[in-house]
Amino acid sequence: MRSQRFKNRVVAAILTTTSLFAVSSSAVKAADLVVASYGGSFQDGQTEAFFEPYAETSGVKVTGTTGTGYAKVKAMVESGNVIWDVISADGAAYEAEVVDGLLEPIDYSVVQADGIPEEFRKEYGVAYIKFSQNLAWNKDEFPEGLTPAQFFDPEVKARRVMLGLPYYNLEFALMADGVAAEDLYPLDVDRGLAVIDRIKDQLVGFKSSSDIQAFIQQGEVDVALGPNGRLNNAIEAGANWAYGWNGSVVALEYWSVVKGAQNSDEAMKFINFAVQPEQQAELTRQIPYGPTNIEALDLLEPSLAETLPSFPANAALGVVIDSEWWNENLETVKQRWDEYVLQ
Amino acid sequence: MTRIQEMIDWRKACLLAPVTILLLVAFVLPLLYIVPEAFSGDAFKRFLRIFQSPVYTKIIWTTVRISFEATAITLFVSFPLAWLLSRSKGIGALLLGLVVLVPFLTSVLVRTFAWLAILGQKGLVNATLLSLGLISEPLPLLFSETAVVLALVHSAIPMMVFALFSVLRRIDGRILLAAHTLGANPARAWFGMVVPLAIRGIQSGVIIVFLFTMATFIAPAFLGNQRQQMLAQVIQSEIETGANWSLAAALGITLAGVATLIVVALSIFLGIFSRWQNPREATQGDIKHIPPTVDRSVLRNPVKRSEPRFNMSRLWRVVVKYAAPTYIALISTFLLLPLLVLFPVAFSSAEVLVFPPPGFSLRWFEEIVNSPEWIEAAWTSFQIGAATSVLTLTLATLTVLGFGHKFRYRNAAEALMLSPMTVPAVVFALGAYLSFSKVGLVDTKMGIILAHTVLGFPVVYLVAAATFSSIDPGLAKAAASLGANPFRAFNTVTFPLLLPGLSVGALLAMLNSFDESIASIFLSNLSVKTLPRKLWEGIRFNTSPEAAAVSAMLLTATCLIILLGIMVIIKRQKRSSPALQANSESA
Amino acid sequence: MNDEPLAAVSFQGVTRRYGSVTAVRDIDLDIAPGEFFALLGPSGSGKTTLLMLLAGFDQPSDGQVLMSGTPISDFPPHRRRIGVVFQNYALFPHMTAAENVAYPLKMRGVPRDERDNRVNAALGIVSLSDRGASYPSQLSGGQQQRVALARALVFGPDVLLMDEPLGALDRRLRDQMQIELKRIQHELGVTVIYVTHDQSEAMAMADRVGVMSGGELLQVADPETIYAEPANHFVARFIGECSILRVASFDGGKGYEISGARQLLPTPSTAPFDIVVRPENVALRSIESSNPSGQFGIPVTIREITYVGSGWRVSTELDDGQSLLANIPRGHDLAGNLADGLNVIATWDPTSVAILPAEETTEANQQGEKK
Repeated sequence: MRSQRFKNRVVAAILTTTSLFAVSSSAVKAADLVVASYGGSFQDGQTEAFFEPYAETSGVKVTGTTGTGYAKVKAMVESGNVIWDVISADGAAYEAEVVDGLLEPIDYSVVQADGIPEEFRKEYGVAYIKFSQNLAWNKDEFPEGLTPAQFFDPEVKARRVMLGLPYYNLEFALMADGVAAEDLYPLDVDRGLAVIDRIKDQLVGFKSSSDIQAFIQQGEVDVALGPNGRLNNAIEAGANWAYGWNGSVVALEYWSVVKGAQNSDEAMKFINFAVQPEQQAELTRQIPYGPTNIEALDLLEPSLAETLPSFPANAALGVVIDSEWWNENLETVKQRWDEYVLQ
Repeated sequence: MTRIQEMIDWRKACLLAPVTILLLVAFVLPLLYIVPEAFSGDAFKRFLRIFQSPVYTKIIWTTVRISFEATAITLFVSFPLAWLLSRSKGIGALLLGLVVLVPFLTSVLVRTFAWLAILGQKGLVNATLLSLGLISEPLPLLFSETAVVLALVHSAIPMMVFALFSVLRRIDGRILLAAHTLGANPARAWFGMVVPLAIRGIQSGVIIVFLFTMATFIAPAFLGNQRQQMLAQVIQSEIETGANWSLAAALGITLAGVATLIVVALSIFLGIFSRWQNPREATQGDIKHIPPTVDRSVLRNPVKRSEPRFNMSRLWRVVVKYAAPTYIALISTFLLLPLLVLFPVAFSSAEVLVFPPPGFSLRWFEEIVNSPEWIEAAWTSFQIGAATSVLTLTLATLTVLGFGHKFRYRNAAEALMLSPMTVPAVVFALGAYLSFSKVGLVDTKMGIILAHTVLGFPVVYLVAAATFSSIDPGLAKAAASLGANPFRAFNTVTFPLLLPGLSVGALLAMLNSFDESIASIFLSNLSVKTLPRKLWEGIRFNTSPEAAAVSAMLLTATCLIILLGIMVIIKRQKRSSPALQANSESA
Repeated sequence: MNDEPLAAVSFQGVTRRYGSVTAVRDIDLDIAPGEFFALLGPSGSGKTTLLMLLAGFDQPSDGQVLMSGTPISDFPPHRRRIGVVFQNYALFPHMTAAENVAYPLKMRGVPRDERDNRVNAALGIVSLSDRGASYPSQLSGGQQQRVALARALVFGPDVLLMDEPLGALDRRLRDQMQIELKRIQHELGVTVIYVTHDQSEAMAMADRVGVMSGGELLQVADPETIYAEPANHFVARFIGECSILRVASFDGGKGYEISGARQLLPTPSTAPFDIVVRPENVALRSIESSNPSGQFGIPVTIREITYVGSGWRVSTELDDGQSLLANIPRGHDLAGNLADGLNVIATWDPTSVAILPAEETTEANQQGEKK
């Protein structure tokens, strides 16, 4: 008993000393505005298009950091140790963060971007980029190209790869099976899985997007459903591949403000700046992802604009993922999906 | 009597206090932020779901099966390597040691990519076989359990070798000679002596590798197909996608529980074979009373030994002569194989990790060397690694001494010591973030050091404990009888004998810390950035050859250090007379 | 050299080179069945190499090793029927004493009951019947030594090889083990090759002693011969204590002359040569004492006196600076007034002297003299 109390006291003592130590070293730089993104070449583009110009025009120091994601944002808010102001969040993370109340509502009196369609201006985030998952094929094997229906045709022999997620895959499969984009939701999960099941034995696996790029480059697969950015990377690296817009599934990337952010006013100003057509176009020039602000498309060279998910002709062939539906149904669908995958 | 016992317990308690505090503060406390999540709401239903759903039971079974396969194969292929390493000296030892370290010095990012470039449809293996005309269709080597196990074995070999090495090097070579002269052929002598005497090394190596493979998630995701899904992979994605934290926590508990159960079972099972290390005193009952009139004259007659039908001695000589070099060639090839991919890719001119590279350039090296961020990350990682290894080393020493040669609750206590390895890294990292942020440890080097110390401690402890078990307890007693106080006895006798095992452990802790990404990513933010975090952060949109360039630089630096060592040895050999070298009569 | 065709062990022109270094050179040696043979030499003299060649861990560069007339180079160590007792015993720590002893029997597929019989007999012969269940770590050094011996004997080897087996034991235990070893060898009649650097051990136990130095076998003989008639300076110095004196011959080899005194002894040559004089063979008397006419005697000066229990060991100096050791027993005339600087007369019997050819650099071999 006594030793227990002693132990507690020791623990307390250790905690205090280490924390003193730590606080003194961590209470260093209080950046004016902290924006969390993903690092790498994408963030290099963001720095050029958003962070540096904003710092120049506003005089506010912008610190770009990495590691955004649902888990870390949740941990940050729960611990009350909010360091980030603005985060870049993909659709899935955004919806999950909204449900858990981890975000500040967007102040639309500050954020003004009429070029961004109404449905992309959400309560807690502004979509600023469109990513899409496209069907891609090896041009040596399929010089004529490939349709989504052929992707799921077991008679078309090919080594295929799909994403290791229920979303995108199910939408793609259902559209390939003839479901119109506007009738997709609520998803018919059973039907979608049945479609995928036709070619399951020809799949090398359900993989992450970085893996898919590597497999394309190394000649490991002939056909893939993967993110257009990664497909572009592979093609630029020399892969003799092409991709199409039929059945493409578009996801959005949001700007959001973390709940309890120290500089939320400044954060809103930053978001407003970043979603303006000029800045959006600039990011696309740096790294070819589709801007949500349609006015930005006009600022781009037509040859570049054509390759983007935002390009009207491309967008017409695909569908924008309904992340709200997914957020409500992810848990049950994920379970069905996991069971199916392991069968 | 009781007073003395109390004193001994008190001393043990003091020795064990630091590690207890560390584990409580930096491990148990963080878990307390996550574990309740698993029991929130309808906890019973959640666990029922895990154990009733065919999905999760299958994943658990797959995880255990792959871990066992990888551990068994790793033990099998590493044992001879550890043995040869333990018997080699000077240059040979340095070169072998370098070969063993290679998997550790290459970032896991590059390593898994290398396996793709080696095993793929157009990979090195298939290309070679095709050009030799041995096959007409590329073999499906990838996306199979074989590929996953191969990659796991490759990265587990260093851990196994070092765990075994620390025990093997303490085996007296004359025991093998003795077994030989007593009638055992080389193979029987080796299996009859080296394997049982290395039992504690085998035990610690098997546990380390088993836990390492249980918690692995990168290799199965990349190199396997859906049939090789492992539990840690599922937990990782559950936490990152945020689908269901409660389920992730429950799965984490399941993983830790299964791992602990198996490890305890393994310890008990292998412990049977190491009983001889702590024999109980023979009691009256043990002494067989044999008739005093034993007929000793039987000893005058030689035992007849049937002459072998074939004289195998020439074969044996050939086997003994070529077995070791052949084996070393094979295992080195296997260990160094990824370098075939790594170096060309590091000098790639492409934006992305692609093999073979379309052209060569120094751009990635320039990028790294000219970037203050990379330099700072490397320096930070180095500081954290050094501090981690010193901390784990100190704690492991105290713990091993605290347990001593005899400790009643060893199995239970050891399971506790190892628990940081059983918990999925992402679960711990999340808990550490939540608890450390309460005291401002997030985004500090101190926080990452603490986390890495917790994660690295089990390995260092296991290696140190295995070494300690092979040290004759009589030695310290002898020193004490010669008038050394306990501290001096430790300083002059136990510590020097323990040092090789400890330094091996500290090296492992350092390298682990150098390669650890999950806790680093969670616990770092603006002020602290480690090398692995820098390597991983770009991965979402592009896999650049930077990782390969960093690995190449790490490898080159290590090679230079080893080269320096070789030069020192050669210089020393030149100075000493050749007669002394040849005076190695006794094996 | 022994011409017995079936020597238990026979080395024929055995040489072992490691690179440019020759570890043993041109060894010819026959060891008779049942013989207790001691291989004596300082460390680095090549005796362990010889042992490794015999045990089969090494192959000769030249020459061959035979056992009972059969060349054994084709036999690997485990087929050589040689029991080896290693310096540090090399007991198997994971086996009990009984399991250690049973090991060679298991390797030879001996059936269980014969195995038990033999293990009991072997443990009995080394007086360890009651410690069979103990692990080596529970046994004392002496007991471990006995287990090692029992293990090497249990399968009835033709030859028992022992490498410095008593090196790690204390004096008292060593003396006791020496006696026991002899007893066991007698009882079992096994051929023993005993490697040691301790000349007193070799002299006490061996039927014959082979002295090695620098990879060469310098002399092989029974202990008395080795002591009384050393083949060279090294052997003389290595075995027991002695004084080596440079003398001149006279009258074409009738005798030798030293410090003006002459002793009749047929000598091999007319050139100066060396004689070996053991201290116990030197008698000292006072200068004043009567000198029987014509008796050989040389004047020496006492330089150092050491009490050795049974008397005194005295180091003296000849007129020409050479030194001579002598023993003075208790009750000797001089015993009462021994003193540094005392001048006395030294004398010895011509039959106790061994003659050696003159050595050019006497100092060169000094380092091999004492271990």
